[in-house]
Amino acid sequence: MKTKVVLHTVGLILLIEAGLLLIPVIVGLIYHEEASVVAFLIAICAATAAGVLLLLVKPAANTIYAREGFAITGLSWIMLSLFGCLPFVISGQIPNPVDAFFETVSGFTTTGASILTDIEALDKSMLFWRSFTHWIGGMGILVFGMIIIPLGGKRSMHLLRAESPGPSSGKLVPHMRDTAGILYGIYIAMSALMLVLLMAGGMPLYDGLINVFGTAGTGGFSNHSASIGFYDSEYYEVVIGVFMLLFGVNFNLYFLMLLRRFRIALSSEELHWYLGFVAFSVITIAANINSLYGSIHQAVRHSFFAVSSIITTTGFGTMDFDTWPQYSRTLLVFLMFVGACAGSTGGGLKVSRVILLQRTVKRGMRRLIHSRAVGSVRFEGRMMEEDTINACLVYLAVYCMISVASVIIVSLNNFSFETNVTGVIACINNIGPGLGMVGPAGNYAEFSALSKLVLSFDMLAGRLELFPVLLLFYPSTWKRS
Amino acid sequence: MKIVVIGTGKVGSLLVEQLTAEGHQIVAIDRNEKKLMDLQNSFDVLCLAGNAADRKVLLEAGVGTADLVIAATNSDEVNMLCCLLAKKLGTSHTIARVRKHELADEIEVFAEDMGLSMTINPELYAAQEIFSVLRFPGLMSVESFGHGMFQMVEFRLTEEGPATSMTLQELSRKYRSKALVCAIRRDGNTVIPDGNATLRVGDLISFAADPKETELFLKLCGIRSRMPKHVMIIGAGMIAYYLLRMMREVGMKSVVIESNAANAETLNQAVSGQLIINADGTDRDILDEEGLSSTDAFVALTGTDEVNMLMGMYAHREGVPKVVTKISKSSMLDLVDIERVGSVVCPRDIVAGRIISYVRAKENAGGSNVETLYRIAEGTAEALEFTVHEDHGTLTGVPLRDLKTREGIILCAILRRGKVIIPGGSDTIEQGDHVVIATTIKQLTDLSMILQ
Repeated sequence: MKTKVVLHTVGLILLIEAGLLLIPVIVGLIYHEEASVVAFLIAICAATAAGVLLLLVKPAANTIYAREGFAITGLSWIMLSLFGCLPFVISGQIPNPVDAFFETVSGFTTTGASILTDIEALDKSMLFWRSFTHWIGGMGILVFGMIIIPLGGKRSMHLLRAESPGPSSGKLVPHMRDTAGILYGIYIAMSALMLVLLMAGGMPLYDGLINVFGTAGTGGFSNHSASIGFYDSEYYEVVIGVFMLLFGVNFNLYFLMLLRRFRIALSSEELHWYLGFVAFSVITIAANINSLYGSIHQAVRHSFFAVSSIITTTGFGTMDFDTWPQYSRTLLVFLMFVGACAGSTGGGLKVSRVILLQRTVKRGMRRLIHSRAVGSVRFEGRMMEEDTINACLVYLAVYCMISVASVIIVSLNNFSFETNVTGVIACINNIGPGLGMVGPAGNYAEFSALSKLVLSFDMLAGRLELFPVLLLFYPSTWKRS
Repeated sequence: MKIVVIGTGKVGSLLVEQLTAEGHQIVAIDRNEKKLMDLQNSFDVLCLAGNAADRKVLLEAGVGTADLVIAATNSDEVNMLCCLLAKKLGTSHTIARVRKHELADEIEVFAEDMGLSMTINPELYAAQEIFSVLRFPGLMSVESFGHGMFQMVEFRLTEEGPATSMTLQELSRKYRSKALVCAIRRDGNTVIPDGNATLRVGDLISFAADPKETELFLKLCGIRSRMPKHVMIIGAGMIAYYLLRMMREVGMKSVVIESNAANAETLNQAVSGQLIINADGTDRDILDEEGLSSTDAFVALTGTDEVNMLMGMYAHREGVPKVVTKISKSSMLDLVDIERVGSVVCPRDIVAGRIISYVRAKENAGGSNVETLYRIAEGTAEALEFTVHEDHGTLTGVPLRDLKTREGIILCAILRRGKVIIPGGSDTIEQGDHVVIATTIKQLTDLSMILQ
């Protein structure tokens, strides 16, 4: 392990965070929230000081390999959350450091799980920062860093792979810097379009920004306890619902569309499955909850928003789906696992992994019957390498192990099985609300400090494709090479 | 520039490495996904798995807007087909690797019709390199500039002599030597020397001179130029074929030892009247029987680097005056003591060097061109040839001693109207000149960059 390179890069990331923290300062100045502004300024000083200190660690060579890539990603995100939670603690708006850390991790990982019981009590600048972490975390801080500075040098692929969701991450254009620029360009353009549409419906700029951050990063923090239900506006629900789905699509497809290669973009198998899952769920859940809302129109409205919010792992709420019939609740939990498309801002297992797993299982079954059958798994018209399939299976195994271990630890709180299980699922898949106590109407405030740390770990693991965070705790990662 | 590299074998991957380092946008295509993964992990490059002779794959790689397509797969036919397709799809320039001599000998016929800007033949280049090394026994390598008007010679100083006893300035005054030392590699460092530098035994020295001056300077360094009369070659591959053709032109005698009967027979048909022994070249008895002790030069050209190095070392120990060892993977060089295997020729590096110089020249099409580029001093320095254009007004007409050039640059030669000037302080650069400079600064792309 080249520890110096890792620390140096983490230092750069902290300096970027210090820069990003200036934005809520502006919000604080506009709303005359002096105490919060001071808290942000102290956090900026702390992040800058730590960043400069780490930058003083001069690495002998700038090359990074796979394990440095993982370590940089894992460590950056943890440090990002540690310094990102300082304003909450310093201002006393979330006095408990563990709570503040949980809230910030939940923000950066675009989970949207909250420990706040009374959201409206916080300063506007604090809520802005809380939601802004979604927007940063959605596309990734390292990807953002690559636009400004050549992070990772020519081996920057190790960083993109660790931070970008999905089983296989590719570049759009040869240079990593240009790829990062294009990704952020699409991200900013879509966010701006959404903001315009929301404001056209009469939403104030501040609320508009908060909701755009929550949607674009597929995070789900809102500035109202009732989430999107607060507005009770079908127009907002349709705009946000559609944009959640759009941000859950692989960004490579948008790039292809920019190149006017619509046919290739629209023939993506993953997109078809994703839309198929959405259509099936919306229709069957609408039928299932029809009796609750009395009209097909209302049933479809609520069903669409809940499905879109859950499959993209955003976690915005309009209705408390915890009170829906068992079929709807169960299907929504299933959608939590599936998650959005690879290469999007969403979490979960990713649709492409679900497809790969289904096809691998099918091939396994066929081999049981015809032991000499020749066959490879095809996806997006390509033969999948055995390595990719293997990585996918390992991912699933690790995912299950972390989930089971977390559920066991969290069960020490003595809450219901449903609460514990869906709480862990909602965190590791970066969704936010689960069922029971952690349902759309509830929150994570009641959990013990240990559980909150475990759930924070789950959120980071889920956002960073498990391994970067996991390897930080694996001794041989840190051995000298 | 946007460059598509097809085939990521030895040459392809080296090209990707060097071209990405120069900041070009590279798309690499190969059928082997594993190799691509390695490449993608190591360099800032976009990798595409697929058959490059497939129109769809080429389109996906964006050949329509590419400035250059380099086809370096192991099949000549595929390379030519890829280039033809790429050209039809809108690529500005194409380079194909064509190594089969049946195709390479007739390449001028195809090249124009297929729109090839350049063809590369690693074996031919390697043979040319070996041939020039053979003609200067004791030297590491010789590069020609300005169509052979002057040479850049690289060699290792092994003996005390007049050259080691005084500074370079005194040396040129006392012996009227017009050779210009351009780079000295000593203890792992490369310096561009001035007149006050002295040479030491063990230095790897690059100097520029016209052919006559070359001999004089070498004599001062204790090296006598002597053309070998008899050469022993191990391995009857394509390099041997091209090398034999060149050697026969100047009347050098040779014996080829090849262990594979089929290869030996192929070479026999291609080069009539050549003495070819079908035997294992690693067998000491065979080497002795064929006169290793009395041969003037030994060239190891088998397909295995390790075998070549071992045989090179053996021949060196047996006292063969000139030993040339071919090595495919230049990373091998780090593992051995280079002096003990004689001169090393690495076809891959030669090819990459020529393509890089082509790419640089193309990139600077507007300003001053790098016309030729050679790597010297074990790749730590470069010798570059430029044309002086009208927009180099700050350089022209000024006596060289008044030009404020950057550290690590030396002007080696000025080629003016068919004459070579090894420059002194009172010489000037004029418009239309070709100048050759040696530098340790990498990626020097324009002549105006030599100024402070």
